[in-house]
Amino acid sequence: MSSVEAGSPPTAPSLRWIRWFVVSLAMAVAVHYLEFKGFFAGAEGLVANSYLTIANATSNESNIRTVAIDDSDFRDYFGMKSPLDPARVVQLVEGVHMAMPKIVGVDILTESSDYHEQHGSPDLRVRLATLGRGMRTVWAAPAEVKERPALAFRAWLLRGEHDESLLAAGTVLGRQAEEIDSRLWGVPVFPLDRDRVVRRLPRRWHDQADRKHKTFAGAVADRYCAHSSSCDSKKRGKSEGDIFISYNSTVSRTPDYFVRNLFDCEWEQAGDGSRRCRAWTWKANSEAMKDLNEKIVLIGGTFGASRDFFDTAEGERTSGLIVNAHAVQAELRGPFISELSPPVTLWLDILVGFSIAYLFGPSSHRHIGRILRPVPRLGQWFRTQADRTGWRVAGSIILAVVVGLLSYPLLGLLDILWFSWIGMVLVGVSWHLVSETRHMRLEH
Amino acid sequence: MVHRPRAGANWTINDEPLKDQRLKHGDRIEAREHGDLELSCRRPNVKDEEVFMYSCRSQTCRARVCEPTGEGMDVRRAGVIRGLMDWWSARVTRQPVLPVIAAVRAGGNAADAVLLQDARGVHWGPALSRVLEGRSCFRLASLPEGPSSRVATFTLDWDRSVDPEGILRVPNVFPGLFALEKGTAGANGSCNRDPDAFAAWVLIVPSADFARVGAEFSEQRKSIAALEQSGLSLGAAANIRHAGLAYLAQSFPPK
Repeated sequence: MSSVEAGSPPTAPSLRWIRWFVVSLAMAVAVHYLEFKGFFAGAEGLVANSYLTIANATSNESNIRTVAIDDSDFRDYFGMKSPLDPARVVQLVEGVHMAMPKIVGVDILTESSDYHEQHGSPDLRVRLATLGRGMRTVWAAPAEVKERPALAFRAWLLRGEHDESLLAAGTVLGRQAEEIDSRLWGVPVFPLDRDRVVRRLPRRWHDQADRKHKTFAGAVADRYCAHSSSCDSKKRGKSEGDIFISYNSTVSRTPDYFVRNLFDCEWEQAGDGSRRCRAWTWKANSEAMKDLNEKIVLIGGTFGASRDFFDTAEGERTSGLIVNAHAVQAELRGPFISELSPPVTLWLDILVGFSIAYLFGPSSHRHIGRILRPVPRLGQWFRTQADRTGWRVAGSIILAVVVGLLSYPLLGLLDILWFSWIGMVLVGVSWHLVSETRHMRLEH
Repeated sequence: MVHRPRAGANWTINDEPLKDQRLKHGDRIEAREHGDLELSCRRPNVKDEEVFMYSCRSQTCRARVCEPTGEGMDVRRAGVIRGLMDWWSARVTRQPVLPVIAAVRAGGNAADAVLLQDARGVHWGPALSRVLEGRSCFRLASLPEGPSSRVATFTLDWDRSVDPEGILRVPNVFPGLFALEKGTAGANGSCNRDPDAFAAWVLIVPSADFARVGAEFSEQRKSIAALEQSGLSLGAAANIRHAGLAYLAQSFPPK
């Protein structure tokens, strides 16, 4: 294959370079457009998770534990009532605090006004004030997503603009979120990729007044760092954008404990023969109590009616409790991996595509032939390959592998991910096809 | 600014029903049913008027007056070139994917109820006693469920302090017995069925019968509540309530 065809004048080198650049630019923009529209979201997610598995390989054991309300607990301890009874939620949180964990994160929305008003005896507000005094309980806050404008491809590609999450926090413990100490609540918000999978954790979210707020995972991590000397605050502060959540960390993929593991129940028989829990008591001196000591404990629901399940790299129905546990881990230990912005990846893709275009051009054969002169047999064989495409395709693949390997230092040193293999493969294949087609047409 | 609506009653401008009010550039248009709206816009220092055509073909559509883009709303401008520009604009932009809130929902499900249907629409409030304020989508399926069951979806901005009755007209909904489920809003105004949601049974009755049927259902509920206090399980109580509603629904055969 050669761009110098019989019977046609040779193309000037400068025109060839311009043609290669234009084709590379067009291919890179086309691939970025497909990425903008979400065609590669799934594939990129798989690659991101693989990178993060490598990055997390040396992580120490997690100090995060999860306590879940599953379907059995929802039936026995909460009477299958949704919303969850505030008094029982508070009792659960108080019980977990008996194990003296570092921090308790409550991944249950507490919008009911019952949390704030007088409610039976003892007074719920007094109990919540006692919990709040220690500054060791963080509550999840609901939020309403506000209207956001459509994102233009040009702004995304050339200026690196991205979809903004504008939220309005709702009520926490029965009161407006702004009335509560901002260190004690956070919104467990996760942006969805175009394939509707949860992979990222925003470090901050914005309200309509453009004020930044912490997420639930960030608030839990902050509280933990305030009470623990083993927290690397400098590393945590590095990245401001979305970071990837690694689901291959040492956090358990299923809840560590359920409510029934932590509480003894005083059972009573219901009229229809079923049994329900009339009163709970904390299981003192249990193995669970010892395990929860000095840990970060997240409480949440995995019962069916909680509607708290999402598609993640773990699977199609990962509970929000587990997602938040991984998010807290990501906040504390990282890796704080974010993506390179589109303007940078565009030019990197053009560079790689340009390199592949060079391989498929005539000059590459001459230049590589010169390099191989010291190896006579190889050089002689290579001289016979001027019009062949096999070595060009092999060279493109080797280039792709080299770029992939070079990406790992970017990941390890600069905490950024760069995906160019899509652009490279498409540029190479398309260029090859275009060139082959021209070659065949001229032969005929 | 002039408008020629072929829009339905569920179109609003800045949350007010669409009438002959004077509109301003940037006013918020919201449609909760199919329809079209044509607006003539004149900008300052521009000689000619621009005609904007808004078309809603899904459950919920939003746009702004005299702006060429919308959420779920098809917006075109009159004229070939303008139309092409709008087509191109749709290709080179993307609507944001709504983020998720990963926490145990306290929002609750719809409740069994008898609902009034009058000239203004269906009064959904009694079925939303456990649903917290906010925008929610619902799936309404005629009972008994089967191949001939009619399904409608609608979106409601529920705020009991503003409209405790929760009045909303849903097209092609007639008196009868339905299963009502709270769903998850999807793209283009769709309402995705939530596999974990509990369906409530609602009996929609016309105003002439509401007082009578409502009173009978109230009596049933008192009896069921007394049984619950003496130990009846939630599931059994729900079954009895559904049986009571099915009995009351005999007067309102499906259309």
